Amino acid sequence: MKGNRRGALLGLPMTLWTAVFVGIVLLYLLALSFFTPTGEGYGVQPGFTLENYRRLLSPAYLQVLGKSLLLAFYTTLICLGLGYPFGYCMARAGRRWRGILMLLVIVPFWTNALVRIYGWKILLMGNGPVNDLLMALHLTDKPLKLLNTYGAVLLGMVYALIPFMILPVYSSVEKMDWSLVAAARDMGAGPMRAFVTVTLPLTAPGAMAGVVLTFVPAIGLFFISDLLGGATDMYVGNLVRDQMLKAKDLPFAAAVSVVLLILTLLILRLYRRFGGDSGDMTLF
Amino acid sequence: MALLELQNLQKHFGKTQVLRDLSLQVEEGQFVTLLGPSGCGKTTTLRIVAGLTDPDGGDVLLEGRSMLRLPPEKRELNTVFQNYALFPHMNVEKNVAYALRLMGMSARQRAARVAEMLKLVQMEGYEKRMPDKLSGGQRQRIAIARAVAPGRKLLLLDEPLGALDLKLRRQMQEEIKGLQKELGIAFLYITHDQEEALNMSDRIGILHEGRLEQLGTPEEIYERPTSRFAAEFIGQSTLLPCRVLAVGTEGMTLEFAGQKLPARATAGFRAGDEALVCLRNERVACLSPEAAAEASLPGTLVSRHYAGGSVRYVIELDAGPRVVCVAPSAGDAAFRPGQRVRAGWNPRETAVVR
Repeated sequence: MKGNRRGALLGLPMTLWTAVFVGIVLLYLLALSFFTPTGEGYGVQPGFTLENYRRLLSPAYLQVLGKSLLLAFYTTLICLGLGYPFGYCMARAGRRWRGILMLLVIVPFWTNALVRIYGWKILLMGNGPVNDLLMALHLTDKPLKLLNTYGAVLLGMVYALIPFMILPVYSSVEKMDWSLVAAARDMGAGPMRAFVTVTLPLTAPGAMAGVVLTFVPAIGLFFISDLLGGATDMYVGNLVRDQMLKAKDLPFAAAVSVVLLILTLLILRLYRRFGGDSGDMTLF
Repeated sequence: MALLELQNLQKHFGKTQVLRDLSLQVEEGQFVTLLGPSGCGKTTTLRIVAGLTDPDGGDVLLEGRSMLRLPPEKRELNTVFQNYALFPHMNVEKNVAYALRLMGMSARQRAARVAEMLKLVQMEGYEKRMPDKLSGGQRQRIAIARAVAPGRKLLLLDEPLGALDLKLRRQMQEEIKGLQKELGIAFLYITHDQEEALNMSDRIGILHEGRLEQLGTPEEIYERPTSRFAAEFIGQSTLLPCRVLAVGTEGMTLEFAGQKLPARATAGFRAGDEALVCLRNERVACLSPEAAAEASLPGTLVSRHYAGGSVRYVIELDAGPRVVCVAPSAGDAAFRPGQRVRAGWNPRETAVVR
């Protein structure tokens, strides 16, 4: 097939790019996870050992993994609870409001995420604006401990990831055929019933894409728990970083990364199994 | 008491007035069609009846009670939507049973009713099929089955055949008309297709720029149009601008380019008025110059087009305008372009409008 060959040729740069910058790197990561650290700097001893994975199965590390998954779960749940109504309203709003809301979602992307989380750190400090406000309103008489709490971490996570929920929900609600809702109303369904039986199932793919897009990064984010949680809790992201930069144990860090990667693939697999389409994940 | 009564409906969208003082009655078991070009306000009218749009003024009565305060789900009527609006995430059975479930029917009753409805639209055995696995005509049938399943006295249909090809459309016209007779319920049907309207309706309302231009049986609409719009919109015609010379009990005398033409008596005309004679293409005959006719005008044949069952002539009258004449091809005299001819018609079968 001539057309096919031309297509393959046109796709060659892309294929090469992916092979070099993704494929080879991942293969190296996988290989690294079976090596042994020499203990001198970042040195590694090539070979094949499952020791790194065995270490990962110890209760302490499994707990880290479990905590990470739980945090990701809560984050996703809150993102869904807030992001779905937001995305829905954005899609149903008039042209003017839609533009304003869209801007609110997108503008934060123009600033470095780390900087924005530092912003939260300042807001939540003991003598920060949030506490000042609470005291001015006489809701509390002494500053509350807001920073370095689980709540602060959750807040930061939701803050960072909610656009990834809002945008796919928005695009699925925007594509809704509203004559279907009119039909449901005509058939005797009240507004709530029509929403639950028609709008919700038809926009679920967007919400599902949002769940994947928030859950997957939520497992690995580490700087938010560092900055807002006071680095007292260890999550998988922190673990990888610490093993790399502090313990200089590249093979173990690689093993943790591989496990995270497999987890991500499993989630995507699950997503497809339930009828998810990667097209729904297109954000812009 | 009429089943449905629209009283002086008004509707604006921004600065455009979509409905002006629209009043209409639909009797029980009647097939009423709102016919008009796109943008005439017919879909807006339907949406107001269904409760999906609020009018700015006027009232909608169902069995004598105003429905304006009721949300769509509380109105005892159902709608067949343009493009069907079948729920894509539900199979045929669930689509048809959607309203039945909300009415609180038991599973057994629902199944029986769904089976009955699918039989009605000849779609038995399609219960488990998803809408995207159905053809356009099949979706249409399911949409109708879903809308009649609750058993209301009034069904609204919004251009239900618009998306189908011509052959299927003809077939569905007959089926929908048959269905309406069988169910004995009233249909308020919306279309821009005059053939559909003429074929199916008990009464047709011609809607033009939000106004009810004319309301009548298909025969009245075709034979006695009361306005220029109605005359031009229905059928293929040529309108000849004339002046009324005299009005008698038997008929009127008109003048066209210095020639007297007899015309049938039409209410509202007085001597001196401007009038348009509505020459339906198939009611004009192409005659030889010396032939006798009650009403005729001389001219020259411009073209002759043979189209199987019929022949289409274009005659340029000596006074200027062109008249189209469509005659059965059987027994056709086969005039040739350039020949002198007369365009003749029967004044009693020819409408005069303003």
